[in-house]
Formats: sequence, structure tokens, C-alpha cells
Amino acid sequence: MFFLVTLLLFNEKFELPGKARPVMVAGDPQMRWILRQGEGTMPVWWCITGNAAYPVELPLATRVAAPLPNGRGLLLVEAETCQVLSLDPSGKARLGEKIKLPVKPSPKQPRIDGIFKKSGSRFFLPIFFNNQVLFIEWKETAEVAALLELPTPTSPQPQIQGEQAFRVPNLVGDREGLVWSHGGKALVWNPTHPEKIQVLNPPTLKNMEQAAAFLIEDHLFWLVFGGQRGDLDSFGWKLFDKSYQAVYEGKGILTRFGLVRDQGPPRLMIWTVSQKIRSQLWAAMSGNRTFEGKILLWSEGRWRWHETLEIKMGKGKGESAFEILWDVDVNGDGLNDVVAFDDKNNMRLYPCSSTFSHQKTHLSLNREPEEVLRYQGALFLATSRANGWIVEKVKMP
Amino acid sequence: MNALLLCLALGCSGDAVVEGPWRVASSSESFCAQRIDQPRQNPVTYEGVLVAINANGVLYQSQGQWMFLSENGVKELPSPREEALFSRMGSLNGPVFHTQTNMVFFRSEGWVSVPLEVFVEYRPPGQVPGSHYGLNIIYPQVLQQLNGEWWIYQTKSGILSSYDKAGKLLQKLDFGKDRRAIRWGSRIGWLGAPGESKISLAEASNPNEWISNLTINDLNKHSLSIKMAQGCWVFTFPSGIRDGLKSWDSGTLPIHAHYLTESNAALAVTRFSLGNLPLNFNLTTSSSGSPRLEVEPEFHVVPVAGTEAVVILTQTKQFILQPEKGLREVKMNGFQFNWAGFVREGADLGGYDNQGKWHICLKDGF
Repeated sequence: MFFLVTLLLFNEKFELPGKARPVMVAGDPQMRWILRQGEGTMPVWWCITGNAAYPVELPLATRVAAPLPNGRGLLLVEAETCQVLSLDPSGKARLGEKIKLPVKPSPKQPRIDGIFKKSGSRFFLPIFFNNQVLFIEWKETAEVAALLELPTPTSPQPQIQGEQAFRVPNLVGDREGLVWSHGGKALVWNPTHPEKIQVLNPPTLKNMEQAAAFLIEDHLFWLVFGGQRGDLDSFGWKLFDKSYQAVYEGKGILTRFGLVRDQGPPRLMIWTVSQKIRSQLWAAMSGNRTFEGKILLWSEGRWRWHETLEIKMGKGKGESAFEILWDVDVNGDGLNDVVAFDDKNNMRLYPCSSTFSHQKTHLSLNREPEEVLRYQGALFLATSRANGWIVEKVKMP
Repeated sequence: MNALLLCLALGCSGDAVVEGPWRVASSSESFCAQRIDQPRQNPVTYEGVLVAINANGVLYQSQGQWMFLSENGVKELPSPREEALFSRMGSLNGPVFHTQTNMVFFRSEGWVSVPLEVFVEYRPPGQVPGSHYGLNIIYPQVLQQLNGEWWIYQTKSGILSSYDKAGKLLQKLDFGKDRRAIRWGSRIGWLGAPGESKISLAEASNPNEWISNLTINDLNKHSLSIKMAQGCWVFTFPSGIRDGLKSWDSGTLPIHAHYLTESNAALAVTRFSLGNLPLNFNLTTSSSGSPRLEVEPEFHVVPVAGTEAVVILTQTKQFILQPEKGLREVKMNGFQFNWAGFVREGADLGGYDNQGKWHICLKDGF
């Protein structure tokens, strides 16, 4: 294992005036789209082009705003239409022609800013309207790919008066289709058969277990995690195939998991902390925790153990949160790396080489990043200044 | 010890949403409404898109026309200028809806708009399968006074503003963050104020000065409360670490119900023990990346329309709780009951199942 101290390099840097935090980034170096949120206010899109940063005013009726896959504008979706917003060189917003959408009227929801999902080489924006889901495909212009009825409506559930959540599922997938959770089931939409949604039931669950589904080469898998109430020792995770056979399992309390899809073979990352009482006691007393990342590798039609990464984290200071990312490629080799931030202003990098051996590199940051943003494999760190924010794209030497 | 060592968040929060007399089921182009206090009446289907479900009616839009369905039938309303967000505003009467920034209510002269201080939290799309992204909107608490005045309190900023019935700002004061208000006739009740385990009453004209307060063990501003026509139910449970550990092992906690009444501006309380009721445990990840154990009640408290009684539903048992008769178990023959629909009919207690069908649950004993 190597241990290096490296200075970070930033190859793209932009400044944003004002206090609103950057929370999402998209586009390319010619035109960056940044979503920013002020304290308790609706998020606002900003566009960075040349050296200028412009806030973008959206029509009030906008229900979804998403940066175009080519970065040249935002796709705005209203109740029954969609249109493209682009900027002229002076930063003035221009609205394109409205395209009629085939949706039925539904109760109005506030704007939820989303992102196009990649499936193979195609880009889709999923939009949820009460009991319908609409997929808009981007091919130089917006085209309706499918409008489908959902098995049950997604209208807001009765809530405590005063608080309402407007959330939509986070779709995961790739060439094989897009998968999301709905009412405890997995829903699968495949662009090659756009006219239907497949509904799949999860395996039988214990009382504190949850399940999430994902697809690899037309194989559906369920990751079940959790255990039996009153018995921490029962906590662990199991990977089930479509016929509900467990193909891998492990112990521990799952804190994060996800799929890595890049130029290499697909990997499954499962991050746990020990379920043992002694470890919990140590973590509670010392503030130190060890996160264990189990990496499974998909090859020749099945999952194989690859390796286990161990990341020891000290007590966080203030509100700084422990983050592990696996959807960024900071050394530019086409393979996503594992990146962790600790409380000592270090960014720890575990690059995946072609053989997937890893090395740990401490990257000293001048300042602790306050926001960590990702877009299509790129990593951006944001820090606040007295009169604004600096956002920098990380590049490994 | 287990639960102690994880980050234990024990709490149940909020006002039960009282839907008023309407039980509403909706699809995208029509909805079905049923008066729960008239059990022999069949549900009626209305064409239109729901806008808001309020304490005494349903606001909807049918082919562009705004309508308000109440016990007096359907009334056509002019179109407001603002664009409505779908919301349930179970404690407010009359045609009223939210926009992203305002509360809009109807008076005989037309729609009146009052600014609401809305607090938005945005969660961006993440990298975990099965997760969700989007907005959490924290509206202020809105209390509608008997004289038509509106009191609006945003817990996030601590600003309490009052408006007259024409929508004119009367006063605005910084009242302190993170409190819980209860509408109490012409007064305001505060849960968990002036200190933890206190409930207090204040005159609406002088909301900062308690005219009466009472101590209830284990009460806090997150306690589940239901304001009835006369009194108010508040539910409490012990929240110490030792109790948390016991509940992790057994999956239950001893729950107490408190029925609060007010006479001559003094609060009085009657206390009932509900025994041990089931809890639901969720293991989530806190923002620091550590596991976090969240505990929620796995029982529902449903008011019986037109009375001061509530029904308590668990997966296996059902109880009725009346201020004057206390707690009794009720047999409901295995029906899955709709959370909104219990009503007294003469000496019987009845409820609606999930299909809206009426069943008698308690004969001659209410």
C-alpha cells in the first residue's frame, strides 16, 4: 500500500456571488449549470459561461427543470408542455417552442429540479405526475419516449399539517433499463420496450429489513439489508438474484451502497459498520468508526468477491459529514475511484487501476470542502468565501 | 444496551390530520367524496382535479372551473390568479389553498392572498438505488380564529404574524423558533412551552403571555396531539434512554393519553393509561454517516367525527377512548379501516373500510 501526500490540482474553477449553496452541477466547461439554494428558499439555476455567472429566472409554472445532456440549456417541463431555455451571450434567457405532452391534468406540485438519466448512449428525463410517469428522450430536441400509468398514484400522502414532502424516485440503471422503487416494489422500464413497466416483488423481509433493486445485463438483483428488531447481531446484508436465491451475504449495519458503472466491469459497493456491540460502544465513546467497503465485481455473468476496503474515520468536527463517493473518476483513467473525506481536511483517494488494486493517497486540502458535487464522473469541491462561493473541479496529477 | 449505542432518535411528532367530514379518494381526473357523518349515504364521484382538502370541504377544478364542495353542496368560484399546490389543510375551514409562497382564501368579494413564509429543503439526486430526491416544504402553522383572523407561525424563523379577515397584516412579532401551536377557540395553545413538559394557553391578542399552563410528564413539543371540538388529546410516552432500550427489546412502549379542557381560562387534564402499544423501528444513516435508529408509533389515532372520542388502531387490536368512559377494546372483525373514517350513529360506533364500505364496530354502547 502506498502512502502519499499530494497537492490537489484544479483544472476548472468558477466563482459564484452570494450566499446560496451550490447543490448540483451539470453541463461542460463551456457552459456550466449550477443549482444553488439559499437558506430555506427554492433552489435557483445559475449558468456559468465564459467568465460570467448568471442566475436564470424560470417561468412560475415550471414543474421540472433539468440541464440538457449537451449542456446548452435547461429543459423546462410544465403541466402539459415542455420547452428549452437557452442563454444568449449577454446572459438573457430565451425560451424555445413549446412541445405538447400527452399527460392528463394532475394536482400541481412545486418545481423539482432533476437530471437526465443515461441508458446506454441515450438520455432520458423521468417525470412523475401523480399516477403517471413520462420519459422524455433528448436527441438534439426533446421527444416523448413513453407515457406510462404507475401501479399506484404518487400523490402526496397525508402529512403533518405544515410539512409536505415532494420527492421523486432516484432512477438507477444503464443499458439494461432504468429501475426505481415504488410502494416497496421495484419498477423496471426498458427503452427498447418502452410501452410497459415491469413490476417486481422483493424477497420476504424481516421486520427491520429493507430491499433495493438494480439491473446488470438483464439480471435483476435485490440487495436486502437490516435484521431483526431487538437483535443487532442479526444485522447484515444479502444479495438475491431474480429467483430470490442469495448469491452473497455479509454481516454489519449497512450505511451506504451503490453500483459503479464506468468503462471497467460493473462493481457493487457495500459500506457497513460493525454490528457488534463492542464496536458500537467504542464508536460512541471515542467518536472513531471503521467503515468497511465490500466490493463485488461482475464478470462472466456472475458476481465475484473483489476486495474489502477499510476506512477509519475520526470524530467529525462541527457539522462536517463523512462522505464516501464511488461515482467519480479523479485520475482520468476511465475507471471510477473511491474518494472519502475525513475531518482533517484530507481527501483520501483509492484509485481503481485496471487490476483494481488500490492505493491510499492523502490529498491535503487548503480548506475543508463545504459541498461535494459530482457530474458524469467529475468531482467538484465548493467552499464559501465572505461574498460568495468558489467551485473547483478536482484533477489528480 | 444496543439501542443506546446507535444514535437513538425516539419521537413521534405532529398533529393527526383531521380530514373533516369528507373521505376522499382520487384518481387523476376525478375523485370520490363521501360524507363520513352520513354513513347511509353512498360516495359520490366528482369530475375534476383536487386542489385542497380542508376541514369542511373539498376544493377542486373541473374543466378549468373552480369548485368548492361542502355540506351545502357544490359552489362555483371565480378562478384565482395564483397557481395552487395540492395540499391537505385539515384544520382550516372554507375554500383555502396554498401556492408556493402564499395562502389564498375566498371571501364573498373574491380571493384574498396572504404571504406565507415557506421554508424549503432540497435534497439532490444521490448515488444510492431506491432513494428519492426532491423537496421538503415546511409551511407555517396556520390558525384560523373564530373571529376570522388568521395566525401564521413559522417554526423555522419564529415569526408569528396575524392577518384580519380581509388579509390585512395586523401584527408581526419574533416569537422564538421551534414551537408548536394548537388552535384553541379564540386562544392559542402552545405545546412544550414555556418549558418542556408544559402546555400553555395564551390570548390570541397577546400570544407571548401565558394565561394558564400545566405540567404533563413526558410531554414535549413533538407530542402527538389532536384538537377536538371541545378539548384536546395529547399522547405521551417515556423517552429516557432506559425506556428506549426496553422498547428496542419488546417493540412496545407504555403510552398515556391526556384529555385537556379549558374553563375560565384554566387548563384541566384527565389522564388515561393505554398500556403498551407497538412501535416501528427504522435503521437509517445520519448525515455524519453513522447508523441512526428511528422509532415511530405503529398505531393510529383517529378522531370519531362529531364527538370528543378517538379510536386507536393497531395491527391486531382496536380501542375506543372517550373522555367520560375511558378506554375500551372494540372488535372490528378484521376489517382494515380507513384512517379518516369513524363516526357515531346514535348509540353505535361505525367506521369505513378501505373500500369506503360502512361497518358497525360497537353496537349500543357508545
